[in-house]
Amino acid sequence: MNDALDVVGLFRFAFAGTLLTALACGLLGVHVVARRMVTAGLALPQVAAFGIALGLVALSHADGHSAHAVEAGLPHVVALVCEVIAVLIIAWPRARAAVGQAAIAGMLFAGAGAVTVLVMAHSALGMEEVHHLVEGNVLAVGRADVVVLASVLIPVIVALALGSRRLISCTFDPEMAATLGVRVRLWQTLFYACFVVTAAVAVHAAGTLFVFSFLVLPGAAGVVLGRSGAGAMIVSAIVAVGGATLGFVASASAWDTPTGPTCAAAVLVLFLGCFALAAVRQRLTPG
Amino acid sequence: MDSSVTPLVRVSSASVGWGHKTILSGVDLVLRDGDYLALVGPNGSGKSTLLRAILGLAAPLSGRVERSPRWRAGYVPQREGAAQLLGVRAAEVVAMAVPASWMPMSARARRREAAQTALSAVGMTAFAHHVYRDLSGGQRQRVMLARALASEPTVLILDEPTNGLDVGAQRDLLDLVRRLRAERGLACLLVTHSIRIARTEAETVALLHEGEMALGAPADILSEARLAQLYGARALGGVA
Repeated sequence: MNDALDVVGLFRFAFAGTLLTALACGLLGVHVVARRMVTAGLALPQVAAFGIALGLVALSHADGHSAHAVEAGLPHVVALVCEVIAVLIIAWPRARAAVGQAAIAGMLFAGAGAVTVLVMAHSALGMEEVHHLVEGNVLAVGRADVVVLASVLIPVIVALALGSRRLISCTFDPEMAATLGVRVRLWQTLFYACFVVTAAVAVHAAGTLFVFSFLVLPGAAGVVLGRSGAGAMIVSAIVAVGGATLGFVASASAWDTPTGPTCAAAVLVLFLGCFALAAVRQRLTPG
Repeated sequence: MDSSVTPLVRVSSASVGWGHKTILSGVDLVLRDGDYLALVGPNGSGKSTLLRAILGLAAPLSGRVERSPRWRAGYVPQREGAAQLLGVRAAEVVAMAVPASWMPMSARARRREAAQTALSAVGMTAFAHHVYRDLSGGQRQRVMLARALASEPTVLILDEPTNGLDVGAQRDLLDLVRRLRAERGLACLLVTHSIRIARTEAETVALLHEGEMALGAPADILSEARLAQLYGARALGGVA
């Protein structure tokens, strides 16, 4: 227990950044899973990684130091632009009618992944940066990174919490919500905006594997175990924060493993626990 | 203002469709308080597209759809969106229709009460705490009907409400709609591909066929001779 507290104290900024990222992804994840947008949840972090890679390469050409590039914030801006374009492609009615949303998201995932590797392979930054983008380097998150994460993710978390009733109504049945006077287009835009900015900043801090895992697994736990919209959000938030905490402490102290993948594994274990709990509850429910 | 003079909704010379493609043109219809209108036609005839325009979910390509200030639609949709995945209790599904308020505690109590009242009206009180996705098709339609009632509608809009239900559940649902309509004086707009249901339930029928609409009493619009002319004698069995 003391070891765990020591680790959290030593890496407090990294721990805070991990929790913020996990919570934002977890709250978004309920909607991602319930709307059957898991492939988009896979594609957008990858597109964000591509944007970050592009931003890093552009600035490393300008001054030769990727650290300056990060401080300049350009990678986040490029990631954001790439993600907005990706969302517009995913939502483009003609493309959806032609091959379906899942296929478009799959193409974006494959395309962005391939081009990221190709871009970085021919840059001064090399494949090490690709490794960081996928696996993440959460322990390297410092005070300045936490400020960036908090300034983006706290408003996202507050918006998702305060707007949860309207958002759940739009997720459950957007057409019905529209007939009840809910401004569905506004709420859908808010949801996608939260999705895009979260992926843009979270991928750079935690890597695509962490972001995808936390966009899907806590949300799936909320969907299988929650018995109300708010219940699903609460379960998802608990699983996300719990998985991040367990993974962080285990990776930084006991196991000495990469933090992002360890957190992903921890949240998978928690999801399996929730799934088992839901199955037991189903068996015990009469009728 | 005399409500019998001002219709709940008036559709004037409207064309509806998808993108730039017109599916239905020259639509003129009026729905007044207490009316029961059925939109009938085969698949692809534009029933749901016209309904979307009436509901305000899509603008007509030309013409006008005017809704009175008294228009409050209680909508029972044909599809269920993401409902199968999200584990939401029946009472919460119904409460989604109760208008929101910025006073969370009183609003929560009001929503709960309104949901219970609406569930009771459709005979689903015992299922209030059941997860919606675990209910049978007929029970889900009743919950959808309760949700429509919870919005305190002046018009009940039912989009293919009997789809996927067995004969007994279809009969129960239509009986329930008839009873609710009589008790509350609701106008009703029913979208169906079933000639039989339109004939037995509605007072006025709008028959959609090949881009045009014929409006009138069921006996005139759905006469055997007319249907045989429109659908062909063989096809008649399929739509009835």
